[in-house]
Amino acid sequence: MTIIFLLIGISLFLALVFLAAFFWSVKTGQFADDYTPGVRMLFDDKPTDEAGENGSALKT
Amino acid sequence: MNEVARELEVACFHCGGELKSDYLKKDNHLFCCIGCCSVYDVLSANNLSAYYAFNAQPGKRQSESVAKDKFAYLDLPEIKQTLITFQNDQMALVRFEVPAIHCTSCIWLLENLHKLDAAVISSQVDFTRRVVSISWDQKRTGLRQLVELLSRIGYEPRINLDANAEEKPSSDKRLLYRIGVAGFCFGNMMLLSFPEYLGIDTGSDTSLRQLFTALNVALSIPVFFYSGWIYIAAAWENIKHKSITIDFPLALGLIVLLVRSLVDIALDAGPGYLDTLAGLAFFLLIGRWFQQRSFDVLSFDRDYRSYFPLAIRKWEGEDWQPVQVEKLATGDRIQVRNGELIPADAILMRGNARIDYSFVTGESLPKKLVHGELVYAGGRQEGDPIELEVIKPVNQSYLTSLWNQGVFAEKQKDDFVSFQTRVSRWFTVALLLIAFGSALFWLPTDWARGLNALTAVLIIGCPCALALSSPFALGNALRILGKHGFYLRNTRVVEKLAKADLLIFDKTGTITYTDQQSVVFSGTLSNEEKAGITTAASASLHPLSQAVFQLFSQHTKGSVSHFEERSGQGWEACVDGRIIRLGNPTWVGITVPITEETRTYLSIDGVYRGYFIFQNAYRKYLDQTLLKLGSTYQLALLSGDHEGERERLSRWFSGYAMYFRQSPFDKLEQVANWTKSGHRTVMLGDGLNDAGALKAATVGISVSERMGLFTPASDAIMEASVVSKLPEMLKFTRSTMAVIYGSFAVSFMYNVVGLTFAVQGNLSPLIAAILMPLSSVTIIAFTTFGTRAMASKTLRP
Repeated sequence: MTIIFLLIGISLFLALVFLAAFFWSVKTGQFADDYTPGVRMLFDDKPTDEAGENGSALKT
Repeated sequence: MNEVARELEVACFHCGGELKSDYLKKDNHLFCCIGCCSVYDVLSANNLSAYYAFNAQPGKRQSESVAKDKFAYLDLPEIKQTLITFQNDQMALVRFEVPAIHCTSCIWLLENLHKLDAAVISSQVDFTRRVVSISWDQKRTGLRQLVELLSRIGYEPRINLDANAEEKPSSDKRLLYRIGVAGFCFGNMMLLSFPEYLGIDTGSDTSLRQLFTALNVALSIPVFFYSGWIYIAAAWENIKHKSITIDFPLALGLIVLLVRSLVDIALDAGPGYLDTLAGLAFFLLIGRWFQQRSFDVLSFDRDYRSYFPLAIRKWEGEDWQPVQVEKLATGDRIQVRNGELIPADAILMRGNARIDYSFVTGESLPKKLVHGELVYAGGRQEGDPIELEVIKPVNQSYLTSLWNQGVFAEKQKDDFVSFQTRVSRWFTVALLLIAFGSALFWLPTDWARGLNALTAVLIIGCPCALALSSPFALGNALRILGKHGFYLRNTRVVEKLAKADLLIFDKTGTITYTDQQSVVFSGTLSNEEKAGITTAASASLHPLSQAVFQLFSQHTKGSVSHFEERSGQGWEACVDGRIIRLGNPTWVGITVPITEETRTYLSIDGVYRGYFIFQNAYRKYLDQTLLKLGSTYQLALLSGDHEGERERLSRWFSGYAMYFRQSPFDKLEQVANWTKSGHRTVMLGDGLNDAGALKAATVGISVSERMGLFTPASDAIMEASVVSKLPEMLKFTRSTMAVIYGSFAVSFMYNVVGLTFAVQGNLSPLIAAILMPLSSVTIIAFTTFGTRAMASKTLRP
């Protein structure tokens, strides 16, 4: 049964890591704007004019 | 497919607007105006035409051409300082509110600003708040050039000196931290309590159980002292102010949960209720967060400063210099150009003033003024530049002094008591009575059981479900109404609307369209005569002539051989040999009794033929809307306009409930009187002149023709197009309250079940751990589905 002590420790540690990740995401404003980043990542780095004409452009 | 192509062909490539006869053509694309075309020029020259690929016709119409030195005031150091949020030697950072942001193309273009101006280091868009943050190299370009660039590509920022103060407070983030901590602890504590729930016997080895208990105690400390502390602090405020809200029984429950659990653990009498404590805090905080989420993009707190210009040109001895309007003093000479706002009460010194007071008085036609006449702040000049001499500083002008009135003084005490608060007062009393009653019942025979019962009642009676039902029901209602174009400041407004009994309307811009006039001709005319009138009227720029031109514009044109206009009287034209005169009675040679209506008279070949009446065009479906509202509510009208339309309006408003020629101060006082006499008033208005009345009413709704434009401070903002849905929306607020009543009943049922265990003094931790989350989840589900069902029933499109 002693192995449970270790497992509890690991599980608590993992949960703390997730909590820290949550804190970090709140702090960096990821909950402040939940729309724009999703759109931004769909833009090509270098959009070209042809992108629009052959219809591969983003449609919303 | 063909249909789409044809549609695209006839619409402006930039803004999608209708193409008139004067459209422009460039690179095989059509544009409705020079403004749109020039934006296209700028973008295509900089290889940014992908803007048009993401969405078809992504732009906004560029009707106003920007005056060359419109933004000259941005060179003033003190203005620069208030706008720039951060700066060092190399770069500066600024946040602009850009109302024109509306699609993915906007995001793409604004985040590629560095391609248009190499001095821009980075730009980032927050779409939901319509904000762009730009950092740029201050050595290479200035703030003014940046703003000019933005307005050149059609994204003129709304510059407002207190805009930066509107940034969201960090309390939002703190609440998220609290939820995170509570959730973390709740999850782990449930896991650690599992052996207890299942009754697993860990056998002779007690060290494992001790570890679990110790961890539970350790985890409960941040839950209580960090996450749940807001409730304890709020309850303490309650005690200090001797008024009980729902926070009081909640805090009591939290404290009793912690103390009883710690005592149980210390005496080795049981595992305690620490997991229940964590769950309670977690659910409560989620409810609070749900209630706080509202419409970030809208501002409900604007005063005249957001509407007035920041700076104006002042004569500085030899030249016109930009100066902040707050610094204007009596005697200053200022210049106001076409489309600009007059910032302070002043006297006209030079130029032809045609002042549009529609936003101040509700008067729909511009007023002509001559040299030496008084011009009030808030009017908008149309036409050539005028020169004025300031006679009162900005904040003491006629209109702006409205904001010095009592209702605007600091934070008004809001004495509206919500249903939740009223119930929780009774609830708290009943809870304490039951708790101490059951304790007294057991005390003589079994004191331990007495204490047990006392604490158990307080734990199970902790009105978690009660505290959740209002936030979830009202929060849902807020978002549902938002989807229909009705944006409320906070959840309390839903409840206030449900209680309303008196609806007060402003006329111009609220029940009528701001920009539409309906013209009726009384008399008869042949088609040829109509054609002649149209042709001649098109030559005059007077708004009445323009309206007449619109009325008959479908008729074919004739040829004008002579046209003469006399200011203040009318015009005379010779069309196909016939002499047409349009103007005031003397101009056409007749005498008429004085009338309140706006009229213009017509004669042809010297014979009087009749007159045109100009009326505000009432909104579509207004008749049905007001009749429906009239069956449930009392209706009243406060108009700044004259009494010309009294008869037409009496169909909806009873005679004694109509008030005309109301100054902004009259409106404020009238609404304040109604509110004081016990009415729950809802005021609908649109202009600055309604600002006082909106503030004095229980709920002030500002009606906005285009979202994102200025709206005076109010409790709610309504899109003008949905005014006709007001009866259904008000009905929906009432059914939302019905959902809350229902959920309270459900939550009481849970309490009764829990209390039957508690008063007998045998509430096991397992029952508490099941009952508490179960009741919370039931309430959340009940209110969410309840409000949705009500919405689809009442708010059908």
